[in-house]
Amino acid sequence: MAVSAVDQITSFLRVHLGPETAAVFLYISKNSKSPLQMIMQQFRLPSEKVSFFPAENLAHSSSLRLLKYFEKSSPSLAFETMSTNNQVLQMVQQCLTLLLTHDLLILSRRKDSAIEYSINWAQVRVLNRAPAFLCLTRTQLGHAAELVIEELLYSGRLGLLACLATVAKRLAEEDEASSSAAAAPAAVDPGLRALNAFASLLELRFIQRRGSVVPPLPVADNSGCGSGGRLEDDDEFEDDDVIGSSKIYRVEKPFAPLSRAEREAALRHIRESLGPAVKLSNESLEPPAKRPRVAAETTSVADARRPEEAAQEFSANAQQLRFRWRDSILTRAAASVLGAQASRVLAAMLDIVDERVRLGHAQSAESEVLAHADIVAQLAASAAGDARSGLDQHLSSLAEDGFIERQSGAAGGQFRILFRRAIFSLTRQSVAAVIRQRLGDKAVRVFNALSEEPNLTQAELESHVLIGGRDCKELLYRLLVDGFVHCAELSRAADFMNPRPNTAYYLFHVNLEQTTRKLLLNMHAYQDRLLTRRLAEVATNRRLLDKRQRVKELLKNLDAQISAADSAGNSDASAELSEQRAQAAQLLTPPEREQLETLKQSRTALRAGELLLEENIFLYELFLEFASQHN
Amino acid sequence: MSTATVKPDPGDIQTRLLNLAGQLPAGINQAALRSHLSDLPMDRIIQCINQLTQSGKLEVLQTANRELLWRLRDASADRRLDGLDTKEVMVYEQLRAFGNKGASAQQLQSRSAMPQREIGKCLNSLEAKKLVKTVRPVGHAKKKIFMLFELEPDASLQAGTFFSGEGFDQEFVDVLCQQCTLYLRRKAEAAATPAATTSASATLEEVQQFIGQSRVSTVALSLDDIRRVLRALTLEGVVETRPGPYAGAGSSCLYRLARSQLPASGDFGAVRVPCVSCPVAPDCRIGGEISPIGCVYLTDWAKGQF
Repeated sequence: MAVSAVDQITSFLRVHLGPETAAVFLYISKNSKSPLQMIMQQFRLPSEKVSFFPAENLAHSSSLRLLKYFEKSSPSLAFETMSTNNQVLQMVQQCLTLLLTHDLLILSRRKDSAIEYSINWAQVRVLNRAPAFLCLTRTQLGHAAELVIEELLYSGRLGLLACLATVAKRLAEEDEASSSAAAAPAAVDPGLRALNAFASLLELRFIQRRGSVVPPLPVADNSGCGSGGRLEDDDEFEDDDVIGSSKIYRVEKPFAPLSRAEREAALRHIRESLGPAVKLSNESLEPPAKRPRVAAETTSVADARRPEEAAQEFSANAQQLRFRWRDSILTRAAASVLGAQASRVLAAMLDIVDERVRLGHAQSAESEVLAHADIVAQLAASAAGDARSGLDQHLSSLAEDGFIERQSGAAGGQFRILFRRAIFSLTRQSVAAVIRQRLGDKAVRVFNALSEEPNLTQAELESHVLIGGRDCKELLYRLLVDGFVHCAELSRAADFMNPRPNTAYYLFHVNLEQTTRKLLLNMHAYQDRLLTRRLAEVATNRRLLDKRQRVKELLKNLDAQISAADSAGNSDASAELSEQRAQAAQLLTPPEREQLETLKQSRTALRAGELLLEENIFLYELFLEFASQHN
Repeated sequence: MSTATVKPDPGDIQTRLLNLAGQLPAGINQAALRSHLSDLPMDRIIQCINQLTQSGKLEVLQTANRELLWRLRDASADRRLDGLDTKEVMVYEQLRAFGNKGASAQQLQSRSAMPQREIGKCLNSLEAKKLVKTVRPVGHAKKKIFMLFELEPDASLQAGTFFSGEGFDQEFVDVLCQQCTLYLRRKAEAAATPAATTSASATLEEVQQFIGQSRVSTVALSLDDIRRVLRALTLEGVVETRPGPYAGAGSSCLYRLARSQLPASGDFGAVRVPCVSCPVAPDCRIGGEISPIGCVYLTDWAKGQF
């Protein structure tokens, strides 16, 4: 795992869940399979005061710094303020609960029945990929869906009501800030948009129902908000001092659609949380007497965060996000090579495969056979009905380029999507693009020649690629040094003990798997550099960003005061406040504005670069997955 | 070797030798002489063999294990070898065996066990009589290969269309690549839908015709030469091939501009990030002298100037 991934997660945890949770996460990441006693040993009250890693400045991310638990100046953690180890124990338990909520921990039982905690690195990877997943969701399903996924990814698990309330609030704030605030309420109802987006995500399996990490609260039977699921294994966790005793629930139907009662309860909650300031559409509501009773508050950490939540929660389905990302990559590649119509045909075929997976079919290197009639029906059902014209030609083009394979010609034909072959082809093209960028077009010739005909000598290669001896030699050696091609030595002499260059054949070949592994490491390093640069720019311009934030808040306050004065009819005060506002707006000088604009442009470019690299990393990981399955 | 019609003359050594040579078309070696002509003294036999060789009725050969053979000379044999001495004939026959690949002086010496100086004298004599010629193989300007005068050197020795006096002509090959790309681009632009139709593709003959008309080459380019150029462009990703239903003579596929070269195509991949092609990427360290924090490439890229 790249160091930057741990840095990012630690920073995320520190911001969202507190430095204590981040410290516990960091300790477990360095000491896998740690039982509670070991974790307590780390954070119990020592004889002398110690302070933990600094909260700020990620400009220099290094494992050495992360391992330093003694720093000169840092804010103290809550552990230091506790007077007894029992309080420390409770705090550690709370931290472990929060990490479990985010699926960042894996529990295992030792032989002596102690529960051990390890980091779920797959989930760490999912959280690191959150920006890419959000971009994918926004592209496919819109902004409201993106906000839902964002809330669920960064909160781990959320109840329906809490999630929708937060998303609706954000949508309402955005509507208010944008020029479309004057639109008709029914068209911009944030609550309905959030609910519809949530329902779509559930239907497409982007999100799933999950059981609660803590025991379900005793709620009224007519709550209509779903049950907490059944207990998976009652005998698994018995020790009350272990987090495992909270009994993690599993839901039988994780993708069951929202019931009518759930929808109504959600809209009612949104209306209550947003207040009368935001106009909402009038959904049919039950009489007040039938409202669900609010659950009693408890001292549990999880309940304190979501006091009115039902037992069942929702979380993002990382596996479906990955599959959709893979499908997005394939359709974009088809669009760039074959055009938009062929891309829509491929997208329709991928939707059929996705639907069959929902029905229980497994994902594999090749899809099941898809009939021509099914593809026509799917195109008719989707918005890509115009792609039916010339369907056979598009299918032939897709087959020629290796995206699909024609199984038989009966009844219009039967087809199969070749995931493995398409990913292999895309990976090879991606590697060739990297070579072209670094070493030029002629190096691509050499690479492709060795990919198609391995084990060539330099002389044979020169005649294949039509490059002069000296140039070919230089390109070949540079490709060798960078790890794009590999060399095997075949001795001509009988004396194999003392090979010499003039008594051996050197055969060059391409090992795409090995090359991809090396490029994957490089891509992680490049991503680390872009992230470091972005954070450094923020740190460098922190003073200016803080100033902008203060000016923004000041202007917001003045705007509120002006509105209040206008409402009260106090024109003098309104004029005076307007003048103050104009002066406040000048607090940011033009050079500072220009610097902020440059900073914004730079951060946007760096983020875009990180996303591009993340996509390449994902492609290479898919390739290596398929390659390892083949091996 | 055709069998000569010889009138048998039992009393004549030469006749007996000729008869024996007729019976052994592969040639007479010393063992055959001892077995068939055991009643005759060896010095008389050798004397007669020399007379027959000089008269052109027998020719002397040397096998791979340096054993001498005498065989009947073909009636239609090259009369140009008349007047050559034995050693010259031996060298000539050795070169005939090497065919159009030729042989160097060292190879002839290892075959014939003659001293280097003798071989050199024979080769000079044969060259002067225009029976043998010298060829310089491509890539080895200082090496001399000898072969029979009337033979064409093998392709491995020849420089080829893409070679000039100074070796491989990269500039010429690049010009040919540009012309092929230009022709295919024109075809793609002229087609209604460049990505899909056959009209955007071209056969090998069409490309050859275009190259011939463009007069970029002073020598005529064969189909094989054009195929090699298009193959190089295919490896570069500029051109792609498709199976052709209407194949012309000598070609079995169609060539067209790769879809990635078309203007409407999108971009995919992280190659736009400057770190991918940065020349000092291996030395870049966070906190080091070369660091992403002060990187000018990233600064220019963020401003859109990369």
